[in-house]
Amino acid sequence: MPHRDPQVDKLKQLTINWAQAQPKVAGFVGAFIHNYNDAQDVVQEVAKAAVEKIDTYDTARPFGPWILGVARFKVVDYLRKHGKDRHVFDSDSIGHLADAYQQHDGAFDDMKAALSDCMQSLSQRDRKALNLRYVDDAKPQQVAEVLGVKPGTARVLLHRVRQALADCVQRKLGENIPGVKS
Amino acid sequence: MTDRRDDLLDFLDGTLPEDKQADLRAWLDESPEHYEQLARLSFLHNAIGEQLRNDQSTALFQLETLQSLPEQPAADPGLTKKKLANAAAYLLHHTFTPKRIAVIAAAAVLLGVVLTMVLIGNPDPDPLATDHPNDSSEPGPAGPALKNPVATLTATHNAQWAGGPASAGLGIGDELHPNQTLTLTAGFAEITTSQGAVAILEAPATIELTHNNNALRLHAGKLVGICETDSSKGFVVKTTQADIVDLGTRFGVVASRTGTTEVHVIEGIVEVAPASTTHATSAKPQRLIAGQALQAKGDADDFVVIETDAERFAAIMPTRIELPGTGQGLALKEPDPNWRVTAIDGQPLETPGTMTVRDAHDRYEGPPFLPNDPATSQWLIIDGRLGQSGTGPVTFTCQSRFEIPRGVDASAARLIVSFDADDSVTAVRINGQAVAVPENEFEDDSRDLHAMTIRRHMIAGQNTIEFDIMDRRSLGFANSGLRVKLALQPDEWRAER
Repeated sequence: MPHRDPQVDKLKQLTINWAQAQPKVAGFVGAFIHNYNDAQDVVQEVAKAAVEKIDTYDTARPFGPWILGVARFKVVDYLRKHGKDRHVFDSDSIGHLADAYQQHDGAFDDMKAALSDCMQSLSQRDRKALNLRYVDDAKPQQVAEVLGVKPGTARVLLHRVRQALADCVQRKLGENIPGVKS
Repeated sequence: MTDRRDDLLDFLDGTLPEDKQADLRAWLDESPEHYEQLARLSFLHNAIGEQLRNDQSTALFQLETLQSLPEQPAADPGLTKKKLANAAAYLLHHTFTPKRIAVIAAAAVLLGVVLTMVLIGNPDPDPLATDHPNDSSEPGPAGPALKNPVATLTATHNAQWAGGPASAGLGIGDELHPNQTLTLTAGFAEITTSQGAVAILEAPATIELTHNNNALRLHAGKLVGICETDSSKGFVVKTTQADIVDLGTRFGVVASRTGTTEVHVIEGIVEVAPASTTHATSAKPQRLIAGQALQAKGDADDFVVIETDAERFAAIMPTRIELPGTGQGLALKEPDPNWRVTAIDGQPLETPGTMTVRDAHDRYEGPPFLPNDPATSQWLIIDGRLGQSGTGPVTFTCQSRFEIPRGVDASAARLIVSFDADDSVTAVRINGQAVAVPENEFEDDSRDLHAMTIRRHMIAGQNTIEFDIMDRRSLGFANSGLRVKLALQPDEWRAER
């Protein structure tokens, strides 16, 4: 009989579970930590904590709520360390958003798949604006400079493109998505 | 129903003003459905970014990750349990979409095999425990190199590295990537983050780069952290016990393998907070100023104040000579005798133009410039009679001089330059020789100066520095500004190549 260790099985399962949960964790973290590099660091902290705390995870229970609980703690911890815990969005609001993520866990995978299709139809200019915002992490002023428009116009353009993507996702899913309905 | 999509998007972009944030928070608290809207939009917001970034690089990351895992783990004495945990965390962190489940599953099987083989060969009740403090195996270059570097090896002195060929071959100018671990076994080494913060290591020391381009982890050893420029403020040194945030200063850190971290502030202010690890102290964050020091112990309830010992860092703390900044010590509208306009669009002026101290609020449109600091540097405005004929972009050459003192080796010295300009600096020259200029563009809301370090073309005695400033004349007339801070770092060992 081959040697089997429950710890190894747990880690293998964790790896697969994380692949599914990571986009949700990153979305949740990014809602409150707007610096991309900092948010990535926190997501990595969540991943490391998941490995370190694997013993506390009951495999009979859903993975999503457990990992979001870990992420919630890490976000609160980050905001506390950076002196932002007393700002408008405190641990209560972070908890409410974590609850919302858990409530609608199943919808996210479909949204992601639909988004991938919707992005195929982006115009060159819209894709360029999004690339500047998300890949180059440019500020609206810099996006405006590159596109040759005023900062206010760049902001409106970015909003419009993202809302159009949200509407497209909604159409593909054929459901009413409150946060993205036009 | 109130349409909050614009506010939600501004919030996720980090551009929603605080008063509007309070309004948004009140609206969110009205109904769980509102939080559901934020959840969906924040998920979409992140997914758009991931999709765009993944288009460029994810597939490559996955391949590199899989290829980096050892094929014969049982035969590799350097393969520790900590490394496997790190590999697992790394793998977890860089897996993105359900479509890649097949790849992940393959990696999971491989990881499982690796762990199984190690566990069979070395049963341990705590398979994920950290390395023993005296573990002689070197961390080496753990984790594959990612696409985007977060730091650069900028100088060494008699440096020797452990960790195999990848580390042994390290050279000055090499880019360093997230998750890369370096162990310095002899000599000194200097690492500069992408944000311009400098960490000088004294052997023996082990550090690890993170995804933050202005941070690193100090696993063990001694380092000096330096933020010479505004852009590097916020540099973080993470140890097992504490997170040390540099708020614009020079400080020393010693992390021991026995579970203590010491922080000594030489200049400026640092903030020390407990680390987010299981070994962290429960102490409250503290701010330290020059002359203060503290010790953090994992099993202690609080940080312990200790006596500052700057001498411990004397071997690696570089000396620095401050040079006059623009408008330093001058009153508003006073001309700066150290600066002058020598050319317009490359054509030398018969009579150089003056540059005078301008009010940071003196804008024709937009918010004030980065506020003046008469003690170090202030904004200078170019003589308003210059560059007014014609339309479209115009370039002013602004010149100053500085002295490299007797006894300082000019070929070994560095010039630390912080600058900002309206609209942008397109070229910088030292004694007529062009040097690389970081990408820069004046921003209305800028609160930092751009940073650059010059290592070449300086000579003993008098030197000339020139900035070419491009003004688009978008208002219909020229209206440029320049602000510069200069410091000379004469340390000789940094010249080694």
